[in-house]
Amino acid sequence: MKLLLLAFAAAALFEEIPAARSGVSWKHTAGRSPARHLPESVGSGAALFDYDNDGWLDIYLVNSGRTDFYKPEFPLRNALYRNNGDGTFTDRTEQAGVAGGGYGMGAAAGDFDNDGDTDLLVTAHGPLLLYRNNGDGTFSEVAAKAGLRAGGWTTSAVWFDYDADGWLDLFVCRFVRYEPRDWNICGKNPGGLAFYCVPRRFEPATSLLFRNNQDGTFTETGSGTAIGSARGKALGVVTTDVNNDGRLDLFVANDTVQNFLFVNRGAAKGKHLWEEIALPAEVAYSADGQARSGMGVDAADWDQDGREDLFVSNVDHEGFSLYRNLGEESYSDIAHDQGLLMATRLLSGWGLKFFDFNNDGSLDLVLANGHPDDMIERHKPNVKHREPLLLFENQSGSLRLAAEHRPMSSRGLAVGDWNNDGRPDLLVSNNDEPPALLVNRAAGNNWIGLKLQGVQCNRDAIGAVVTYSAGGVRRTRRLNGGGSYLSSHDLRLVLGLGTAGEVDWLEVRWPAPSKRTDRFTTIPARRYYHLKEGSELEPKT
Amino acid sequence: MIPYGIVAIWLLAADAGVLFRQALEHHRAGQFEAAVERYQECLRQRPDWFEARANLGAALAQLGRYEEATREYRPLLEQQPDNFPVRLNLALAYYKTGQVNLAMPELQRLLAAQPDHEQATLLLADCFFRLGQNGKVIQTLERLAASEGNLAVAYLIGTALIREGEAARGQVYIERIMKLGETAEANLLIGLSQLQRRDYGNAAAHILRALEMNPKISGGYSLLGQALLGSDDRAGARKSFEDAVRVSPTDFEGHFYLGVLLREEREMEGALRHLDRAASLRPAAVKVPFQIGLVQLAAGRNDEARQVFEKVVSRAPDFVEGHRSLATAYYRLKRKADGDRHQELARKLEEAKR
Repeated sequence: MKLLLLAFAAAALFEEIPAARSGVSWKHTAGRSPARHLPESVGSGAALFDYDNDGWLDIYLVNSGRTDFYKPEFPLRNALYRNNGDGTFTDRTEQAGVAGGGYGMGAAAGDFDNDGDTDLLVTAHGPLLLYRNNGDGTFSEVAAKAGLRAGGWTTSAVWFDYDADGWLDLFVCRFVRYEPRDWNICGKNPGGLAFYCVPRRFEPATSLLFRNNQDGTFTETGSGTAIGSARGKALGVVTTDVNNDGRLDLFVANDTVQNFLFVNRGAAKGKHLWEEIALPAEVAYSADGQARSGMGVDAADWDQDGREDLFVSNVDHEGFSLYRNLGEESYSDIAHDQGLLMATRLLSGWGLKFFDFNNDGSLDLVLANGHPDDMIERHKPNVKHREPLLLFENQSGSLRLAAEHRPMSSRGLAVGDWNNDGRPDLLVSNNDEPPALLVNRAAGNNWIGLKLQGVQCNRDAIGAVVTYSAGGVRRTRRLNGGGSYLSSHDLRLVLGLGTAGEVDWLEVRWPAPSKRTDRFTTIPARRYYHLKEGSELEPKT
Repeated sequence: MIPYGIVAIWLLAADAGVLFRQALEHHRAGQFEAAVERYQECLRQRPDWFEARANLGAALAQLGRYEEATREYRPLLEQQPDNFPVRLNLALAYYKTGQVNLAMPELQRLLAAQPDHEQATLLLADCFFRLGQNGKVIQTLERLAASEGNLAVAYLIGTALIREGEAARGQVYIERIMKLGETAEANLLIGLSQLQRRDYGNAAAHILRALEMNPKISGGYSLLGQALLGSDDRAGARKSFEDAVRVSPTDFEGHFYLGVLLREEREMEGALRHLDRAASLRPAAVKVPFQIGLVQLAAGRNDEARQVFEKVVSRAPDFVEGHRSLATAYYRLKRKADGDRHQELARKLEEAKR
């Protein structure tokens, strides 16, 4: 691939903070085996969330662990790093009680019990873990008690309120069946070592939808709906609103089988209706009807035409997909027209997100990459195991490669302003490597930050739509749940204002059940605000 | 290549005889245009002169005017159905214009009468080769396979075997060709073998060497294109496929891959042109109309796409992608029930395959 890039180097847009400075010294262990078990190649994820409500984003990182195919020589654990507010972090894993166990995959943060403290779901090859935040810096693992039982191999998950009752429900992706009878050697590379099997070989699985019973427990409700009958190999999920009807839909990226677009049709006769429309919507396959290896996803109104678009990262030689929402529940893949298809053709993408890195008001795109096979270079010389993190800048509606970071074996990606300077930063989790913590150094533009708090709607306000005007330019953002891969982003919204010194006006359309709209005018730039549903904007200190 | 033969030399009295003699002199001297003129003048005086018309066909063919040549040959064969040199020349003219389906019956008729006709055997095998019918290539050349010194036979059988996945048997022919020294054919066969094993870098190197030794070697550029495509050199691949169809306008692979590449590059009209040509070269290859349907779909010509995909799935009912693409066309045409039906068919087929 030709790189016409500004590297993330000196005076670069992002700077990587070394572990010696940040204190984030944890490292992911894949537990690579001679048998090349598939789960070794796909983990793991990360979360940026404020577990102690001190206004600073903390870090959670997921690790592998003991399971039927892996017995680590020394104990492995997940990691929770508390943000000290000065650019450094302190390991609080043991104190918080979130070390995990089992072969971990991803993390999804959300306040499922509406108590104001962010809880944490950890997916795995093995049982789910639900860490309920006790509000005192500790968590309690309550998955079984809460009824969150999911056998098999779970990957990405998303908290969202599908039934509009004001409580966060949960969708959990399940990947392939990977039980001892499925463990196969799928051939050997020219070095005589086993390949990782292509997921095509394995049986698909159904993903799970859990309804929040509002009492700390959940009931699986996907069975008997389109969700329960769609057997896929789900790796990524994001909420979106395909048709702007106010109900949150789900876009699921599947590996080697078609993607799913589950449209939320609301309730009728006591039953919630989901319709899977990926093929008619033209987001299921490539243009020539081939299933691709969907991994990471995101949804955003990237071109600000009032409809949310979708992005999917795939494996090498497939190219990534940018699906423009054309209305009427149909999409067109414009990755080729945007130059993204060719730019990503040799890459294998995982975590990703649309975000406004330079606060000019337009949504840019970051892609975390890395080939799943650590020996890929022996048989595909043009494909690398470690691949660069890429940043595409939105320049008047065209996505242009703006920068790259050093090649890594990236998987998860979480975006969040962990130093509270109004510029979204990055956390990249790498397979069998330490994570990369990057701080945003893009200079110049103004911004405001919003921490939304639902009252009637879910406390995290997932699904809220913020429309604002600055310098006479009107823009809209939706607070979506999920996205990326195995990871969880900062739930605060940072709104880019360009050179405008203030927000002219801002409207928040809260999700159901209230669906109320709150409007504010003349909001000074360069600070965070707390906004409670139905209340006034409060500057955060 | 089998040369176009001059059928006979007859001396005739009067002007026609003189013209015929002059035509022959030009013909032998390689002055084909002058020969054509003289033969035509001669035939104006003696329209039924068999040999003059046969030679005119040969001279036209040597000028690359194959369509005109076939117009001269056909009436001759009505007069003399057992004139095998003319039948061979007619078959060659069809072959040269990519009409292998017309060439094949002529060759089969010739071989029915003269089973040992080596040139006709080779030409028929090459027709099967161009149609991708590798089994028939092997079967046709069986009798000649023992002939160790025949490069063309070894090349065709070896290639057919490798394409059929019989690498070990193909290797025998590679070695046989190698014994004759480094040849373009040997390099091409080795390249093909490496291409089948997805060793794209080495395949490209051998095919390039073959093309250096013989720039017109059959299928060389389209194989190079496939090797470059495998190596992710799309620009190089596109140029090779363009070279393939320039050197041999009847190169199926060249037209097909060029069509696919152009479709992927969103050059829809160019894609359609090459895919249409590929379809005319191999009417039985269902992958070609499928690609044509994809072009129509990408261009928003949904009803045209629907019609193409309907034919595709009626010819290949188990073609999963065909059903999916037909479903997409139906959905775009707001025929949801039909779309759902084909989506379900595709799902069931995929499930069965799994």
